[in-house]
Amino acid sequence: MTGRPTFGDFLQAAHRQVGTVARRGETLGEKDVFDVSTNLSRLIHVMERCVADFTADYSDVSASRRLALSPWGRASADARDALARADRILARRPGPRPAGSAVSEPGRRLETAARSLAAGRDLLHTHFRIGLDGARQPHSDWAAVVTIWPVRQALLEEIGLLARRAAPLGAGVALSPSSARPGTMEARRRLNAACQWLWVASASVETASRAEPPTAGDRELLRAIPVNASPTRRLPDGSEPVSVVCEGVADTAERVRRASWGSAERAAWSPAMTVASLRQVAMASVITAENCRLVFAALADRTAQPGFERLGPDLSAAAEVLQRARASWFQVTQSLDRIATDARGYQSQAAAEAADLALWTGRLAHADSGWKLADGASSPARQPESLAARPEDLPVAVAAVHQASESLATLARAEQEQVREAARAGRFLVPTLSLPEILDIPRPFAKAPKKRVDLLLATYREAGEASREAAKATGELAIATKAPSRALAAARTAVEHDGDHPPGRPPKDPSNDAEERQESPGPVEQTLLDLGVTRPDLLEAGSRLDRASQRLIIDAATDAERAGRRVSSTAFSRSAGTAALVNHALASAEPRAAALLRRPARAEREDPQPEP
Amino acid sequence: MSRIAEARNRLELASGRVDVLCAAYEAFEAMISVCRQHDDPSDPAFNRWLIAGTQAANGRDAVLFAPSLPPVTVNAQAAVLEDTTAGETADTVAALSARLSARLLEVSRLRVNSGDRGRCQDAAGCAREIHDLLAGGTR
Repeated sequence: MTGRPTFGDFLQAAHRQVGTVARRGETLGEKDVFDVSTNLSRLIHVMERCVADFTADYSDVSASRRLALSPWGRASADARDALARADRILARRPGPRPAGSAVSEPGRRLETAARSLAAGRDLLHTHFRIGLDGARQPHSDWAAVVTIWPVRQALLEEIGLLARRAAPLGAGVALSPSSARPGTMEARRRLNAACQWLWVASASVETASRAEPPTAGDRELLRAIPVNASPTRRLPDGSEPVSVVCEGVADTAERVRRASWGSAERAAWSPAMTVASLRQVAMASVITAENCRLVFAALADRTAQPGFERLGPDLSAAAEVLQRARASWFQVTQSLDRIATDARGYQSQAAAEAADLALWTGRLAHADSGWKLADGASSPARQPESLAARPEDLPVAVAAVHQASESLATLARAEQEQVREAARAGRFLVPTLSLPEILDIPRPFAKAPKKRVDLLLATYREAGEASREAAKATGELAIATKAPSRALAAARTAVEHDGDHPPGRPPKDPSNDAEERQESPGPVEQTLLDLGVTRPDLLEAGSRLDRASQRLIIDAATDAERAGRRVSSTAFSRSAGTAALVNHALASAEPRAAALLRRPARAEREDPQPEP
Repeated sequence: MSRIAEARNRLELASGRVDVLCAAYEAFEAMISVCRQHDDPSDPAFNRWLIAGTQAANGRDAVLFAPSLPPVTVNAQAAVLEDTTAGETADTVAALSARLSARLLEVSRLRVNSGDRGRCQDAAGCAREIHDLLAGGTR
């Protein structure tokens, strides 16, 4: 939207590292089990923190009562448990703990994946702050998006996918003969055991994903969450082409929204809560709304030309909505004429940014590259061809107006809340001359009557409704034209509808994931590959044997669980052969596969194993 | 006589700090009223009137909080648009604001308390902005 980093950038970087699992014949280079263990531990720790920070917390729900939870509730609890177990297993690993950067190829991949995911987690955290009571509080409009149900699911799904991809990377090193050097037995066993729990985490998420799959829109929204950082302030110098002016509008719109955040909390005491600031915001919003209307009116003409999508009626309708927003903001300016505040002389940041936005939108709407706020309609409007020379330029111009409209809606809400809080604190005054003569007030000003403040709040409410309508109308056009700002529209819709769990979403077809899940060859097939076998019929036969053994092991484990026979999870990593078979079963993402890993009946002292 | 003309008259006749402050208050109120009557966005001068109206309100507030402004009533009637063109109205308001700025600066240079001085300077600045917006630019 505005060129800022998004969560998707870091997520994609993490996936890129762990996504390239050791393929047939690929050599991962020198395998250092200690190096891989250290860096896998880092990755698991970040994954665990992501799940803990941003998904629903069911950690206090016992395993037996989890069946009562929703599929994603169970997945959140089970994934959290599994990641915690993997983390603990690796925390007790023996051997050196390399403090510096990774030294092996798989270690480097895991280290980079951990760093990328950690940066992504930090990005999500920029939308929150810690309040005085120690609780996490929203710090931007995107905070609401991070915490809505569909985005949490999408995040958990991504963590599950990372787990599924990281597991074979670690297990491959643990079971590889070339990493079996003296003194590494216990470390390899623990590394493989941790990877098994990663498969369990992945399977729990995949089960939920099959039952209630996140939509492509949910995943896109998660990836679109930007960092909560203000773009650098800049003002137009008149030399910018239209595309750069559009960027300037988008960046400044973002600055407006950030500046508005939290203003109500400060309204009771802030010296910047002045009527002059309120007036500047209202005045600038009138001008911005009018500029946006002009742009859309011109684009409506432009799309009537050949080569453009027929969006004229929608653009014209949105232009009318912007006109209503302009009129409502003008009512606000008139209401503010009749009121004053106790503080003077300071200007709020929102007021300054709102004036900048009016200037940038004016440079977009008018042909004069030196257009100023006072010029208004005395300066000719920009020609439609100049706004969108080619069809591919249309979304950029739409995005600029959409961003500005969203900022108008944010401003209306923020200013209304600010006025309400300031009124509660008794900060509004009126000239005594404007009050009935029967009131004997020996000062030129007096506390504003409730009626006057209520009238002011009513005008802000109307401006808010009209601006939200404008944001919605321009947002629909942003989605229709695939404008860069469409994630904002999706975010607004998602937050408005949070809680409306879509009923009857069709379950995901498991065969869609089959190719990815089975990309790693099983033990029999891998043995054939290691022997240099290339005949497709033999490899297919090996694959069939692997799938059959997978089903057999899972069925046996389930029977053992029903019969009350318990085997420690660590037992499955004691021999390479057993570990390979168990890993392959776990990698199937079959939910029953988790039955293979069970807590021992009592605390088990793990005896050191003799070296092979 | 229009309210703008009355305000101009009173401003010219005002003598002394208190009188000027009262006249300034009335002048700003008159300008607010006139500016807000220009509410057609298709009017080429709409933005100028919009910004001028905001500055008039800010100037009125600056005078309102001058310590020496007495709690006395002034002529607070609604302005009536005279049968003049928009350009003529703008010229009249610009002339008033120029004179208003000058008188307020005169007061600020007198031996007045710092509160009055600061408010007069602020109000003079607003009046100057109004003049710059409307002088010769609304036709």
